[in-house]
Amino acid sequence: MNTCFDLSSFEQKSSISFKSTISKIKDNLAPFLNYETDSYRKNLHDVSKIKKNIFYNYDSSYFSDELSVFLSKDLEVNEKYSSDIDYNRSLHPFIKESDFLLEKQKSKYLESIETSSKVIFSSTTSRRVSPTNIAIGRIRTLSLLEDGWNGLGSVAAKKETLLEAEDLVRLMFENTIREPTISLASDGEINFYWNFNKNILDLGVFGDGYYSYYFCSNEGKEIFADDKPIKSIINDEILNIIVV
Amino acid sequence: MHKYTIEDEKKMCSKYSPGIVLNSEELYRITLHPDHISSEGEVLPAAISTDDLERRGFSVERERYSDNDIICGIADKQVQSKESREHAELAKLGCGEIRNLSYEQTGNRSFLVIDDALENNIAHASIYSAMQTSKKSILRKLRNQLSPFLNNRLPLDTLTTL
Repeated sequence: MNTCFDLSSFEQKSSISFKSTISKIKDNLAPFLNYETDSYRKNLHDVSKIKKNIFYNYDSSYFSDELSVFLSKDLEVNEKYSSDIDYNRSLHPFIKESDFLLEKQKSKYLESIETSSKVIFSSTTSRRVSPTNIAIGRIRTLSLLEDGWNGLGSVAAKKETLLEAEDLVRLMFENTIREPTISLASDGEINFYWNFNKNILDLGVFGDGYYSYYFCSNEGKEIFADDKPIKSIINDEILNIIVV
Repeated sequence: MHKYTIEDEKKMCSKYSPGIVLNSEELYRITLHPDHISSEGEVLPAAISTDDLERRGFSVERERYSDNDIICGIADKQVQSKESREHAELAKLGCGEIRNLSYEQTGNRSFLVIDDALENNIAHASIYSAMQTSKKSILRKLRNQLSPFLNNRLPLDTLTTL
């Protein structure tokens, strides 16, 4: 399916500023919408260089996420679009769900253009993507690392680990929390690390259904926790500490 | 869990060993950017896996016996294995400092530094948790003790001039 996005019908309008806006939109959307072409990945990379404030994983193949995150900037589409897409499905960018999402996003985008000539493309660079999506995007970037990524014996994160890390992010980010540094350890752990005001929290998952952590406050108070079910993070005392 | 005790620091644990690891020795560890480094430029605790401390050993190179070609070769391979990886550095740790770290709750040593030389790299040594534990929270505390010692980092290209 060729999903080339033709906006020519809207160029009949006389307003110069509107035409200019349409032109900019076309230029910036085209690489995303022609995702079946060979140039898709290159274009995505180029655009990412230009618009550093826009977040997406151009290294990954999560097309639907990239598109929804990008488009949600001006459309105010629920940003959960990207995080709610089932992880397994997102591994396959050409499945029907992605097409459906694409059509839905396109349709909403066209609606917004039709109803308002005040679409200012530059505003797309000023709105921030939600912390949840940033964190999930980071986890999915880590999912690209393969066995041996950190030398002999290092392993990639298992699919279960990645899913649990995403679940944890969704649960934690229901509150406004401090943004963690998310990284992969060479034993396949997805790690969440906070270091603020000399408080340290080192929390991680291994894909076994549980998380563990070590916390040390700036007053020297320590908390050790092991084998805690992922969903118990909602009631965990540690959440109160990282809430802003 | 690993098999080592403090007594093993006093003997050569590999037939390829050039000698036990002395407290006065300096140790190297390759750190990768940006994988191991926080936005503030500090080495992340996750740069030290809990599995390494518990079981496999956190690999380091003994400066005294290190071969610059081997270290640079390993670092280059790791940098080139991932497109977004920027560069590698060498963290320099004092063996005595690591052995002096203690676990406050028990007053016992936190880490062992074991000479486990390899056939193709006699400078190889490993850092293990001195406690025989598989509790992740305890191992997390240990790596948070160890990671600041990785912040003394040198550019890799200075290795040839050392």
